Amino acid sequence: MTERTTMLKNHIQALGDAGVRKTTFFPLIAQSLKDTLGEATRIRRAKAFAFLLDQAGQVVFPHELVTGSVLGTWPLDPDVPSFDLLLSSADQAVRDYIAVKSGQAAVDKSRIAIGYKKNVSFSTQRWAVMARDHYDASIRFLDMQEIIRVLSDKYRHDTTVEAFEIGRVIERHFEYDYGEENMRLIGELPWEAANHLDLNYDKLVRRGFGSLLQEVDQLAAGAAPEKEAFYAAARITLVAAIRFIERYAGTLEQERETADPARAQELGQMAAICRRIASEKPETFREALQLVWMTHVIANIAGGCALSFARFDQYLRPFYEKDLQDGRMSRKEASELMACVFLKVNEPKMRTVQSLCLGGVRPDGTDGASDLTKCCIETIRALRLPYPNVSVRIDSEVSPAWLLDESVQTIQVGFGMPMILNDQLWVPNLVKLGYPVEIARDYYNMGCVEIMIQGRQANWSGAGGVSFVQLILDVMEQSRLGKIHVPDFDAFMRHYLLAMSETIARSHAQGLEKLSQMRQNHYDPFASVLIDDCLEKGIDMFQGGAALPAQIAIGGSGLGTAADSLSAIRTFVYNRKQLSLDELSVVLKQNFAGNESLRAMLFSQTPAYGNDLDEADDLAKTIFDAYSEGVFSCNEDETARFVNVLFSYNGHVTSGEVTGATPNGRLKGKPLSDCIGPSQGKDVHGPTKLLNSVLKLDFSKVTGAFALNVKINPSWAQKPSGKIILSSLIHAYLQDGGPQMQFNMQRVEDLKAAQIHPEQNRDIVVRIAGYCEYFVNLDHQLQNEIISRTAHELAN
Amino acid sequence: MQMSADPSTVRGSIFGFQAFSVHDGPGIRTTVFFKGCPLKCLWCHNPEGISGKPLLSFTRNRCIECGTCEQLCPDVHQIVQGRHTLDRTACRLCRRCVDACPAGALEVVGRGMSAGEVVADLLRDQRYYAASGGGITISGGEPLIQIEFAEAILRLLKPAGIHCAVETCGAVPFSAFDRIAPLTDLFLYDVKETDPDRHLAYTGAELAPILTNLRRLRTLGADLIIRCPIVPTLNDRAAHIQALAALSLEMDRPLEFLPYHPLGASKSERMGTPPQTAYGQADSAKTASWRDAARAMGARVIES
Ligand code: SF4
Repeated sequence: MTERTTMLKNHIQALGDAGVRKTTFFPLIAQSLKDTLGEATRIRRAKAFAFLLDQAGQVVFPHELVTGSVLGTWPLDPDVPSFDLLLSSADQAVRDYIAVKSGQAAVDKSRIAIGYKKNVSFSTQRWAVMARDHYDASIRFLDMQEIIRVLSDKYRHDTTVEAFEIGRVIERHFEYDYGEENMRLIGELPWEAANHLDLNYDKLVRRGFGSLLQEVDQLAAGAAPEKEAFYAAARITLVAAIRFIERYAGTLEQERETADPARAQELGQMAAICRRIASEKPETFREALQLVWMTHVIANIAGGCALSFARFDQYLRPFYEKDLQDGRMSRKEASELMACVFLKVNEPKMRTVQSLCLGGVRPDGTDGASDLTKCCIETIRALRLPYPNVSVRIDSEVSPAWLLDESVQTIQVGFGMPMILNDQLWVPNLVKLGYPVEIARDYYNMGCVEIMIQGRQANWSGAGGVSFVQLILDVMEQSRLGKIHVPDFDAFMRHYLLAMSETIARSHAQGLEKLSQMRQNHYDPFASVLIDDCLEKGIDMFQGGAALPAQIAIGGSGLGTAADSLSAIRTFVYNRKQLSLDELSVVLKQNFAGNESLRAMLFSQTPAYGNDLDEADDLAKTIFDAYSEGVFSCNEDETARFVNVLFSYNGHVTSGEVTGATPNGRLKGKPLSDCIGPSQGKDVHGPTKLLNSVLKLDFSKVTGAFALNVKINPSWAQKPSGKIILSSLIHAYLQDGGPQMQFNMQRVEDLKAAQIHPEQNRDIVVRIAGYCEYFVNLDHQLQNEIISRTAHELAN
Repeated sequence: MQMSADPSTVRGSIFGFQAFSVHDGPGIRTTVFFKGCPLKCLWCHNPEGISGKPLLSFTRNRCIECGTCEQLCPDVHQIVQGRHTLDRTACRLCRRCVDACPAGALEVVGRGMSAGEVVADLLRDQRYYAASGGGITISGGEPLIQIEFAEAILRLLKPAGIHCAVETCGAVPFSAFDRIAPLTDLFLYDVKETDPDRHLAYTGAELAPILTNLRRLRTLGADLIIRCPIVPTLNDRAAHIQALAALSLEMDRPLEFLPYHPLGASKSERMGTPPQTAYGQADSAKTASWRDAARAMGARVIES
């Protein structure tokens, strides 16, 4: 890192520590919506966007060379009460919740929801297990974690509430209140912003906002009457974006007046760049980067999240090569500019998870890795940040050897980056999904590991979902109630697979329903300018304007836990006949109370997925193949693409919290297995055996998002010889058709120390499911889960 | 001795496989551990490999003292005042307790397998071998006391082009080396101590034949690495390190130091083998100093 980037990193860290932030977003949007009552929805939407941008504060960080920040809409809240007051108010909230739940009190909204926007809810999931998810809390994340810890302990013996409910009540208790009237106005519109997608930055840097505005005007001139509103809305937002960037130029010029001479010169350059690129097409690498970042900031201010940089090294490459060739910029300068941007992706309140994809083949099938790719990887390696969430696409036939080499060197540093994506698997599979091959080759990882096509799709969304574990418990329950007869394991599997296909069909229907709802009233006129075909068609991205159909995920979950549970049922119920299915059912309902030795037996003697044992892996394969085929075949019409996904984000912890005990000896409330991996601590024969198990799954019909976390031990991985070992693991996995892999390398001592002294260990980045995060930003449950899986890895 | 016509049917006794073995030989390897060893090193980290026979292993921290095994086999297992006790002399290795133990605390270590079965297991990780410069390692125990079995496995792997390493303590008749040298890509040849008296005291075996075998093996042109476990207070002497370096130079082959880990001490408790002293562990500065000393004499020292 350079002196500048080190100082910028420290500055951003300090901003994160500065205190609690409260957004101006809701009040501003609501204010505009009040003024535009009666106008067409999409015009109101566009005007509110413009009003928000015009009113947004503009923050310039010291040391930065590329400017733009979301913090202008997230000022510090000066009125945060003391910890003791926060604790006692949270305690009161928990007591109220318990009283309501146990029927002792009527739902007294004024009491329970004092000052907060949601009322008591008994729905089953927590919504935040990490700081970044907790966008909008009136408390420091670490304070809230401490309060959850204290109160969970206090109410440990209270049988009316589960631990996760306490966490949830507290999280909701600390949501900011922006006023019922405001939230109603916003909810009625509704406000939807482009999220979980990429805006076409390739088109952006080739054209610039001015040229896009011209196009809007030309198209509007000849447009059919029903399209007029679309173009009018697009125009309002484009003009607002241009104004926002020009205003940034002014802000920089103002800063310049009080800056020291060296900084004043830099600020002057930055101001000139902003002034130019506000509407002109960028000419240099730095200008292109500034325009991309500014647009990214705008979309984030407007409420977007999980916006991806997509194929960053592809669309910036012409600028990079030209500047280097003309001697306008050195490689080192390019790296420093990119570092400014990557650091700022980690500023507080940036909406995660923002991904960036490198390498892979170009649309014509030739190698897309360049010196810029290499420069990016080097920069990322030096910065060691959780975001952007970087993937490197590798085509084992086309990609140069140095690409894997650079990736492995970065993995060896041990902050979970980059993940590896397999071109040889994804390109053909996306073709099977119906995309032409040149388009399939433009895929990238959106957010965490979700596979999308650059610049051409509306937001990724999810519908329903298939809990592989819950379906097992459901079949057992049906049997216990005498509704079905399950004489042997084959019969069990028949019922199980039937239940799975019914669940997929339900999710499919839900997805179509969701899509049609979205089309009734969702608009994002700004994003629609930057998603292919919307402009030409005059149709919003939410309304089906995008060049490619919307991608809807029907996510599977808990593969490892489910495979092991089926394996336990086969082994103990049907093969060894140690107990009947219904007896097991009852034992599980009681969470193994009084059956500790049975639980120990199930836990220790069940053949488990992840060890290259055919007798367990075949079950994982049966589940996986049926699921992936089931979702794949939901694609008979063109309205949407339904994709299969085994990627858990934080879901393995949050759904684990609400899932009962399972036949593999897992206790109620404990985490489920994550992504396509095994049950925590159950892969006991090292990474090759794990990969062998995973490679038995049929990946020929996977289309959505599939993550495999490989936990590796620094004792070998960080040695020089670790490089060839890691490379060969990756190489073998890709060669034999694995879709994606990522590595986590940690020391248990460090993680434990970070739990005790978060302030001294804030730099530890861990890989969770498909994304990375600072360890100290995670909720205690998730931290414990990571410690236990790490400890297990190191013990083997 | 006559090699049987079909090497895959030759049977032998092993006590386990280690996949993803990255500390014994180059690249990603799978190691198979043969049972039985002529040496009895004080620090042995695989004490379950010394005897040629299977053993009943008991892992105390897994045991939940449920008494299931006692009911099945009261001669062997007893719960005395809530604590599991074990009398292995009465054990006939029937495995009933192993299958019944809910906690996975009991295990029989050691089993018979055919060479064909061993090879099938070793090949499950074949996809990782070539790219990493790895392959398989036959270890133990001392693999060459089951020379028929070792040779059969190597014969089966040779046509598959798999890199084969054999780890040996050298205390076997040289005829064993004669038989497998043409089939072995690399020997990991252990020289535990270079002082003859100490060697006898630490391992229970004479040093001289081990060195003679080493020199003869080298004259056959076999590739090898000289390896030595360095155990604090026993053989971490400068003179020994120097003697190893000299040997490495004489053989013109690399040297590798294996820092002692007190794993064998807890394992011997689990396996019911004679108790071991736990020696100290050298820190990384110390282990680097051995390498530096040997390198100063011109020896090539490797770290895996
Ligand atoms: S059966 Fe297993 S857990 Fe139970 S007492 Fe015996 S060794 Fe211990």
